[in-house]
Amino acid sequence: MTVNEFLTLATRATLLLIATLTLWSYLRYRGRARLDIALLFGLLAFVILIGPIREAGGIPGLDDRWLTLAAQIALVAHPYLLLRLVLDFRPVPATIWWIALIGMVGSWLLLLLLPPPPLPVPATLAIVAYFVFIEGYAVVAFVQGAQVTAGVTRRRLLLAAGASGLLALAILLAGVSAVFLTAGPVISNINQVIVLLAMLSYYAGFATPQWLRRYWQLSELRRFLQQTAGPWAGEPIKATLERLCRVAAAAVGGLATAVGLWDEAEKVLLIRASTMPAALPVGTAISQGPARQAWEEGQALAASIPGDFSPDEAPLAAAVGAGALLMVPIATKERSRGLLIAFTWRMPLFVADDLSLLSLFAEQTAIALGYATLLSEQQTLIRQLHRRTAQLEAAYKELESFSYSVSHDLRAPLRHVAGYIELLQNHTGANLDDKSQRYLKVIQEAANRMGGLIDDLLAFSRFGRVELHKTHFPLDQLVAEVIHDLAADSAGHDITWQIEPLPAVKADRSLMRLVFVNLIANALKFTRSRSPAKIEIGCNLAEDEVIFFVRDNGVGFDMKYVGQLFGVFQRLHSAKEFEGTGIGLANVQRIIHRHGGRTWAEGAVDKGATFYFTLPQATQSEVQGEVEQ
Amino acid sequence: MIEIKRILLVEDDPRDVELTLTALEAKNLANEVLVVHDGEEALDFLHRRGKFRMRLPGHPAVIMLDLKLPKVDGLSVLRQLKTSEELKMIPIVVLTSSHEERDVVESYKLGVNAYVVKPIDFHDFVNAVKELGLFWAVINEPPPGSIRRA
Repeated sequence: MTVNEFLTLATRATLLLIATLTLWSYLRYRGRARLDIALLFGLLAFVILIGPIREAGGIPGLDDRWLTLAAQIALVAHPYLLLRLVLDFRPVPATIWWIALIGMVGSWLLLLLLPPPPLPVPATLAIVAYFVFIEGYAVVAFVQGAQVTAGVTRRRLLLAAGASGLLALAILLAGVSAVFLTAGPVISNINQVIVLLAMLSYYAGFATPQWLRRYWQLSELRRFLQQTAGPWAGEPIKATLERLCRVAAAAVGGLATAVGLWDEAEKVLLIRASTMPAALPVGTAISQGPARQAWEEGQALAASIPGDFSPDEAPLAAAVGAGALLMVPIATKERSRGLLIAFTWRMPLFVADDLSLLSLFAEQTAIALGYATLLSEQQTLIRQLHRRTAQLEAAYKELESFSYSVSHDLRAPLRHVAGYIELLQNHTGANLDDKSQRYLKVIQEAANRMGGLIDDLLAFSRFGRVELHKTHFPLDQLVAEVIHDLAADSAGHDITWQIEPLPAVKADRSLMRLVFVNLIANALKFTRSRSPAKIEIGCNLAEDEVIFFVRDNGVGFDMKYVGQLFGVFQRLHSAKEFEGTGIGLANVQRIIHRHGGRTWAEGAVDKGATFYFTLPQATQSEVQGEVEQ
Repeated sequence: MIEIKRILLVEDDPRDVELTLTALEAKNLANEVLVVHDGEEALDFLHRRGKFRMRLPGHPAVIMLDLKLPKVDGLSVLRQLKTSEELKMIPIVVLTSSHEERDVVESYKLGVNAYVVKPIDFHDFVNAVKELGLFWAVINEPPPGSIRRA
């Protein structure tokens, strides 16, 4: 087999295969574009196959001349069919249409009416002129198309342009070889290769096999994912949407793309980003039509001119110059945000592929938006937290400077009152009558009492602010210490102590000591009239806390006033009956609250009282943990 | 020529000055007290500058320092004195109305020699001041360069 024979065979076989595939594709999926492609390759295959048929002796009963004529007729239809394919990518001016149509029909008439062969030179020139002009136009159209598009469409157009160029070259070479017959075999070989390449390019461009298309789309997807994965944090939503538009347009060869986000208040999709802001201005509302339908159903959808478009979409499509819309929801499982809309010149050949690719982009974008939303919510929360903290700190500072000022500035005049009364007494003491002496004494006592109150109040305020120094210590020991200290003051008083075992706790020891000092001192105070006085200290374990209590058989109180017990300077007894300022239980409550516990009391008049407080059980488990360590 | 005395009382409130002097009188120490009325005066006096440029040389045996003072407050005075090579040996007693913990802590950090809260009760006050005066101006051996009892 010579090289020439091999190439011829390869070209024929390839073309036959492509023609079969495109025909199969048309029969299976239908559609105008597929028909055009099938026709284009079918005619080319026919032209090429005339050769072997003739070599095999032709078709019996049919003049060889007719076969040649048929091939020629088929060949001159090629530019026209090519022009029809251009239409799948971009509009074609009416003038060009007419030229192509007249050229094709005219060529047919010339071939049919004039006596063959060979045709007269003017007729041949006319046919070649038509052929070259339309093919040339197609090449230019494809190249121009490739310049304004990107991604998959750009590659297809470049292949189509290349194929048209190669085919034109092949025809030129065929003409040359007809003139310079000596160069025949070499040129014929080269020509075979060129034709083969042109066929493959056409095929890849027009009837792009799915694997090739997927491969191209994959690279678009990879680029998109790389861009999306990087700058999520802090990227403005608009930038994310604009990138989606750009990438989507490139991947499906759209004339333009836009993102409409759902506006809950207006119940419309509002365009928030687009690749063609002049035709698809940001802020345009779409409330009806296929876009609305795609949004509501959460489904990818394709719609084509003209009937499908709603009054909302039609002007947009017209402004872009689009004949079809591809729409996919921008949604995650949790939340739908809007719609990605790609405007294409015609319904794309591989709608399902395009829609699924767009869906992938949209889904990734929805995830990115989700992250962005979470991030911005988080930042808002953090800002709020900072603001609150600052407010708290300011309030705390004010409180501190207030108590500081009370501590310094309120005590000085009190001291002066007490001091000068004393000086006055020393000065005129002997000259004053009893009444005046008593007045001075009252003033002095009042000043001293006020000093005590101020100190109490400052201490109370300090318990609210002071840092807790929690340590792990046994309460038994603390209670024993307190009782020992206080018992000295109640010597001669008949007291029955009943102290249950108490657990170890994790708390501020000096503050817990104050709690027991206050509660036990109270118990001693209010059982003064009892003999024997009975004071019981114990605890109960509850689900998540330990309840401590101090019970006495003293004078008790009326449960009606239980709400006042823990208030600052609230007293249920007169100063005459029982001394005290009424700060003790307020301090107990504050200290227990600081430890995360509660306080309450039970009692009845003359039947004694029980004071309860709790410490959270979490404190206990911390203790356990520390013990184990 | 301004004299120098054994006790330097830094106190802006004339009533407190009077009560303090009254208390010290009981131990015949009132004559040993020189009073300045704000932190700036105290520093000027000790550094012998400003209107105290011409005072006699020597240091008081003790400085009784209030914390709330006009112009330069007591803690600043304390800080400046305790960081001065020349003056840091002079004993300083903070004598104040407040027992705010941060004042106490800060004063001791700065190196105060004693911290006394003026009691509200006059008897307690008089006793406290008397004891202080007696201890620091009479019993305590002051650092070299201090004024000694005549």
